[in-house]
Amino acid sequence: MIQDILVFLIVIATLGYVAYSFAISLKKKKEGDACGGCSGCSLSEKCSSLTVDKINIK
Amino acid sequence: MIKTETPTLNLSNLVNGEKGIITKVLGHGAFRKRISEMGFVKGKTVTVIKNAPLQDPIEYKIMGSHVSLRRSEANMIEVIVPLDSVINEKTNYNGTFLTDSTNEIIEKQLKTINVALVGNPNSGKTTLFNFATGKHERVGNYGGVTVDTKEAHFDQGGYRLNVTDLPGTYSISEYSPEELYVRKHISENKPDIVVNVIDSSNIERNLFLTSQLMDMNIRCVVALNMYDDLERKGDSFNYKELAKIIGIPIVATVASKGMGIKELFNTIIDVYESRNPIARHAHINYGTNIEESISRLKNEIKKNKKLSDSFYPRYTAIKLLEADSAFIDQVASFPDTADILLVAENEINSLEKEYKEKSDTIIADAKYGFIHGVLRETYKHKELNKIQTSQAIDVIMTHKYLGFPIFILFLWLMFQLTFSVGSYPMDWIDSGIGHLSGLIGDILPAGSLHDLIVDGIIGGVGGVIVFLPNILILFFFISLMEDTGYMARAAFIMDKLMHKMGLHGKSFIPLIMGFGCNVPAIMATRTLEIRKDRILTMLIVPLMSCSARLPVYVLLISAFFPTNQGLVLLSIYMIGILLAVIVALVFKKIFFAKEDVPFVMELPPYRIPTLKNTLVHMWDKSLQYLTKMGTVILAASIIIWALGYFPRDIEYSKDYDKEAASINLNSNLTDDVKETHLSQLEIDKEAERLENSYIGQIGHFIVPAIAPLGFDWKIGVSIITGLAAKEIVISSMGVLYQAELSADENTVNLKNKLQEQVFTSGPRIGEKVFNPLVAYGMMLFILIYFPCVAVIAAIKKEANGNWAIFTMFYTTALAWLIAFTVYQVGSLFL
Repeated sequence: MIQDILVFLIVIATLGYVAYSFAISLKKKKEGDACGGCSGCSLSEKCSSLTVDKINIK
Repeated sequence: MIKTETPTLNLSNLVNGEKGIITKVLGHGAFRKRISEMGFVKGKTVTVIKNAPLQDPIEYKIMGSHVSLRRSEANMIEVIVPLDSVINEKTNYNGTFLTDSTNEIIEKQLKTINVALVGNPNSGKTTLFNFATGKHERVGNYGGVTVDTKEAHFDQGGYRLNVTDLPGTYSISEYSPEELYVRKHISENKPDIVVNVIDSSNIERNLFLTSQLMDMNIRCVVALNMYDDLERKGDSFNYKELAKIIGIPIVATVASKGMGIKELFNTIIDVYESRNPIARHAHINYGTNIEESISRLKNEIKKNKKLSDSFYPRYTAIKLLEADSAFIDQVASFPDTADILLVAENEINSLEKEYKEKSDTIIADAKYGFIHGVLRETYKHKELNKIQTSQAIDVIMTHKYLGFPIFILFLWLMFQLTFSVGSYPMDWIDSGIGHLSGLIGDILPAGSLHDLIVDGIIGGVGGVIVFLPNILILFFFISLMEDTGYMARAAFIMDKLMHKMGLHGKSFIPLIMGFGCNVPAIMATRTLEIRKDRILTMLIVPLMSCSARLPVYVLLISAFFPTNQGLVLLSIYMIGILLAVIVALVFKKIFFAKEDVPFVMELPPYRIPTLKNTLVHMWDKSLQYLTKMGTVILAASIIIWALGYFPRDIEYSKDYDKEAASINLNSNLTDDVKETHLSQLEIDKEAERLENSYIGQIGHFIVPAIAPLGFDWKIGVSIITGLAAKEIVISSMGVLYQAELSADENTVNLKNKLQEQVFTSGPRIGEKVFNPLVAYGMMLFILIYFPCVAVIAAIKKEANGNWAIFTMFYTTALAWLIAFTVYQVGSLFL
C-alpha cells in the first residue's frame, strides 16, 4: 500500500514536471523566444532572451 | 539617503515623472560631445516630462531646462533611479549634489567597460573570449562556429569588463546577415571598446575589417592572435609601427595558451581611460578623387544634426559612396536626408565614370591599397624554399582522387573506434547498473515501487546511460577533426560533390555541425548569405545524424550486426548525407530558383589540437548527456513505465493461475520441464497484461501504420516517445522490453532482450521481432524521421512556422518510405 502511494506521488510529480516544462516552453514562445532550454541542446544555457542578442534575419 | 541597490537603467526606460541620476553616457565622438553640451553628464538628475504620442521623442528636464531626445539617444544614457527622492524633495536642487553611496554607484558604472570582440571567422575570438572570461563556449578550427553573441564579464585592474563575442565576419558591409548584425551591434549598442581579433597567419585580409572599423571612428584595440604561427613561419612583423600608423594599439596574443590576454585587457583599460599614447583617430587616405567626394558628401551630412549625431559623418559619407543599401535605408529614415542622398548619387556616378568600376569596388580597392602599403612598411615574409606544412598536407588530404576516400576512411575509423574502444567502459557501466538493479531489487520488497525503480527508472535511464562512453568517443574525434582544421577540408572535399548537385558548398558547415546537435546547426545556417540557401540547408540539417541518435544505432548494431559494426554505422551516416544531397536537389528544383553563390570558405592552416579544448568539449557533452538523463529521460521513463504498468485489473484471455497450478500438479513432468512451462506461462501472462495496458492500447492503435515496416507496437511507441528527444527511444525500449522478460540480475543488457523478443499478437505471433533487416530499417527510420522538438522550434525561429511544419511532415514521410522500401525489398532476398 505504501509503495502504491509513493508510486502515485512520483508519477504525479513527474506529470507535474512535464506540464510545467511544457507551460514554460509555451510561455517562451508567446514572448517570441522559441528556445525551450532543452537539456540536451548545446545552446540551452545561452539560449535565453536575457543573454542572447538574437540576429534578426529578414 | 539613496538606497544603493537601485538597478542601472537606460534613460529611455524611465516613465513620465520619474527621475534618474546619470551614471554613464555611452557612445563617443560627436554624439557624446553634443549630449554633454546639453548637460547630460555624470551625476546630473534628469526628470522625464512626457513621451510624444508615438513614444518618440521624449521630453526631459535637466538643469532647469527642457530638452527633447529621441528614444535611441536616451538609450545611450545610463541612469540609476533613487528609491526615495530626498535630493529633490529636501533640497530642491538639480545639480551634482551626491551622497557617497550614489558616487559609489557612479564610480562603479564608470569602471565598467563594455567590450565587443569582432574579427574574421576562425580568427580565435571565441578562444580569446573563453580564456578571458573562463567560459566554455564552443570553438573549432573553421569559420562560422559562433552564430550568436555571447556575453560574459570578468574583473581586471579594478575594472569590470563586459565582453561580447560577436559572430565572425570578413567585413561589416551588407553581404550577409551576420555582417549587418555586427555593424548594427557596434553602431547601436556602442561598446566602449571594440577588440578586432586578427589571425596572424592572414593579416592582409583581416586588416580589411580593421580599415572599416577605422572609418567608423570608434575606439579599437587589435588583438594579433595566433602570433606564434607567425613567429614559427619566421616572418617578421613590426606591429608596433603598424599600430602607430593606424592609431590603434596592437597586442600580440596566443589565445589558446592565454599569452598576451592580460596585456590586451590592460591596453583596453588604458584606451578607455584615454591614457594610451597610440590610440588616436586616423583616416585612411582613399586618394584625391575619392577624398574629394567624401569631403563634399561630409559637408552635406554635417548640415543634418540628427544624422551627424548618430553616425560619424566621414563614415556615413564612405558608406553612402559604397552604395550600401542597408545603410542608405538607415540614412533615409532620418528627416531631411533627400539632399544628402542626391549628393551621394552624384558622387557615385562621378566616381564610377572616372574609374569605370562599381563604387564599392573602388573603395575596397583603395582600402586594400592602404593595407598593402602599410604592410610593405612593417611586414617581412621569410623566403620559403619549400611548400608550407599545411599546403603539403593538403596536397594529399584534398587530392582530387584521394581526398574523398581519405575522408571516408577517417569517418570509418571514428565509428569503428566508437564501437571497439567504447565497448569496454560500456560493459563496465552496464555491469554496474545490473548490480545496482539487483541490489535495489533485493532490498525493496515486491510491489509497484520496486517495479518502478527496477523496470522503469533503472531499465529506462540505465539503458541509455551505458552509451555515454560511445558519445564521448565520437565527440573526441569530432573535436579532433574540428580543431586540427580537417573539418574545413571535409567541407572542401564535399563541395565538389555538392556543387555538382546544385547545393552550396558552404552549406556543408552547418551540416557537419549537425553531427553533434541539430539545433546549433540550424543556427549556423546564418553563415549563408542567401535566404533560400539558408532555408534549404535548414530543411536538410535534420538528416544529419545527431549524437542523440547514436545510442539507438549502437544498441541495434551491437545486437544484430556482430561483424563490420563500424562499416554499418558509417553506412547510416553516409545515407543521411546522401539523402540530404538528394532532398536538397529536389527541394531546390521544386521550391527555389537556381541561384549560385561562390564557395568562399577558406582552408585554415592545420593546427595541433589542445588537450584542454578537447577535454572541455567532452566534459560539456557529458554534462549535457547526464542532465538529459536526470530530466527528460527520467521523466519519460517513469511515464512510459506507468502507462505500461496500469491498469492492473486486466481480464486475461485464460486463467494463468489455474494453468500454473495444473502444471505444478502434473506428476508426468520433470522439475526442469515444469520450470520451463511455468516460466513461459509467466512471460505469456506479462505479455498479455502489457498488451492491454494503456501504452499497449496506444501501441496497437498505431500498428497498422508501422506493420508494413516490420515493426511491432513497442517499436512504434518508442518511436513516438522519441519525438521529444531521440535517446527516449532507448529508454522506452528499455522499459517496454525489460518489463516483459525476466531481468537478468547482473546486467540490464537490452540487446539480449531485443534478440529474444517475439511478436505477442497479430499475424506474426511467435516470430522474432528483430532481425538485421528490421534493425537496419529502424535505424534508418530513426535517422530520418521527425527531428526532436528543439530542432523544430529552431527552424520555426530561423525560418518560419510553415517550414517547421513542413520539416515535421516531410522527414516522417520520407522515413516511412525508406524503412518500408528497405524492409519490403530486403525481405525478398533475406
